[in-house]
Amino acid sequence: MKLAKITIIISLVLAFLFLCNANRDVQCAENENQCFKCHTSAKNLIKITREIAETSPSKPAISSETSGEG
Amino acid sequence: MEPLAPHEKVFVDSSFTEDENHGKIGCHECHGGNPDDPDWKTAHKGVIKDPSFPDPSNTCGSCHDDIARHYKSSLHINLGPFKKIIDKRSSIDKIVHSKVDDARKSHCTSCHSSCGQCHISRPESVGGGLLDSHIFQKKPPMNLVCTACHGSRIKNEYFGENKGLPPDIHKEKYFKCSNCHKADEMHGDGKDYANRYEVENGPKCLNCHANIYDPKSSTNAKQHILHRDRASCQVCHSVKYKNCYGCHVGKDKQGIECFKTKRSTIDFKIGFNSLKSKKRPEKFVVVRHIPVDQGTFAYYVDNGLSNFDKLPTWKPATPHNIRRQTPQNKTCNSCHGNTNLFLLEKDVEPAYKNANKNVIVSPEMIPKKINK
Repeated sequence: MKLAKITIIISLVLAFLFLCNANRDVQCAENENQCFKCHTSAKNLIKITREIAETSPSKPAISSETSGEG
Repeated sequence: MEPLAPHEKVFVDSSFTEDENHGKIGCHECHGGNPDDPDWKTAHKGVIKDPSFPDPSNTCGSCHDDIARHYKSSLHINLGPFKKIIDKRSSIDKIVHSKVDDARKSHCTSCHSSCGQCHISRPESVGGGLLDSHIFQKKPPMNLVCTACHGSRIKNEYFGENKGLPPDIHKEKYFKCSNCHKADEMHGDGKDYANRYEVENGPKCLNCHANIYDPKSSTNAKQHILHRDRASCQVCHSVKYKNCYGCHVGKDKQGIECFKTKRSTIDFKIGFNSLKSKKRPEKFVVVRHIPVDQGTFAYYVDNGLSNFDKLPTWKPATPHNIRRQTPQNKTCNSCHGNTNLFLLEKDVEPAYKNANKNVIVSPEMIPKKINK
């Protein structure tokens, strides 16, 4: 009985550690890397891309004078 | 192809870090910039959008050296045949040639691709944007990468989007581009090829249809043996395809590069093989009119293509609309003696006649009608 209890406790601890480890990379990247933090947030990106569009409107990639098939 | 909003183009899926190889590399290790800076404006100083172009050696190549070391010979990166062909048509005058070369770089070479622009993002020439939020794609998605660039001809032919014409039989069998066009063909092998048909690992119909000459396993073996080396597979198995004419390149009022083509037609023409080689020995091939024109670069320099006639404007083609049964293979005489199918002198614009003299089929060279 005691052995079974110990086995269950060890299994639960191992499962907990495994789940923590799976999220570790994401958490590390989020905490340490500003690129990752920003580029995984649609809200941030929408805000910044709007800001860019207002301050420096980009030229259209395709000219309106292009005609026909290439 | 659905366009992407600006933020969608650069959105990274957090599950990217679960990629046990690429997800463990810091963003800045490939893209540069400062990952510790919380101000996006200064953090992006020195950022490289596509670190795999033009030279992927220090990024992709640091692990995939076997592939990346041949990058210079990948036609998707170097567009080598464009330069060779335009050089051949170009004036030998150094000043004129340099202007043609500048125009080529601005217009023709802008359609290149790279490791990143196939496996991570859409190609820049079609607006870019991450394919699947920076999750690496071992096989590039056909509609967002391959046919995004190869659109007006290949895509429309393959998907049956040319009015009244069927799709390619391989499309109906759910073939993706990569079923025939393997990675070895795409990545280059270190050889400097004159054109895509020379590429060693290019697709060959016989790779799959190996038994077409075997009477025991092919009901049409006799026809295949009879036409072997005389006609390319497409001569019998393609349907009508697109031909474009008179491309002129230049810049619009805003200074943006633009092009105009005079017209495009849907047609089917059989001509002589101008790229006859050991690998492609066929006498007759399907020929497609390419959009080049004597004045293609006139915006940049007068008479830039003064050696225009050195190459044909009707070039050997492999339309991507293969069918087992086509109008020209219904009976022997659907093709034999059928002058409508062949590129005759009357089909060629007067200005292009000299350039196409080796491709044009004279009536007496058309295979004669068969009397059974």
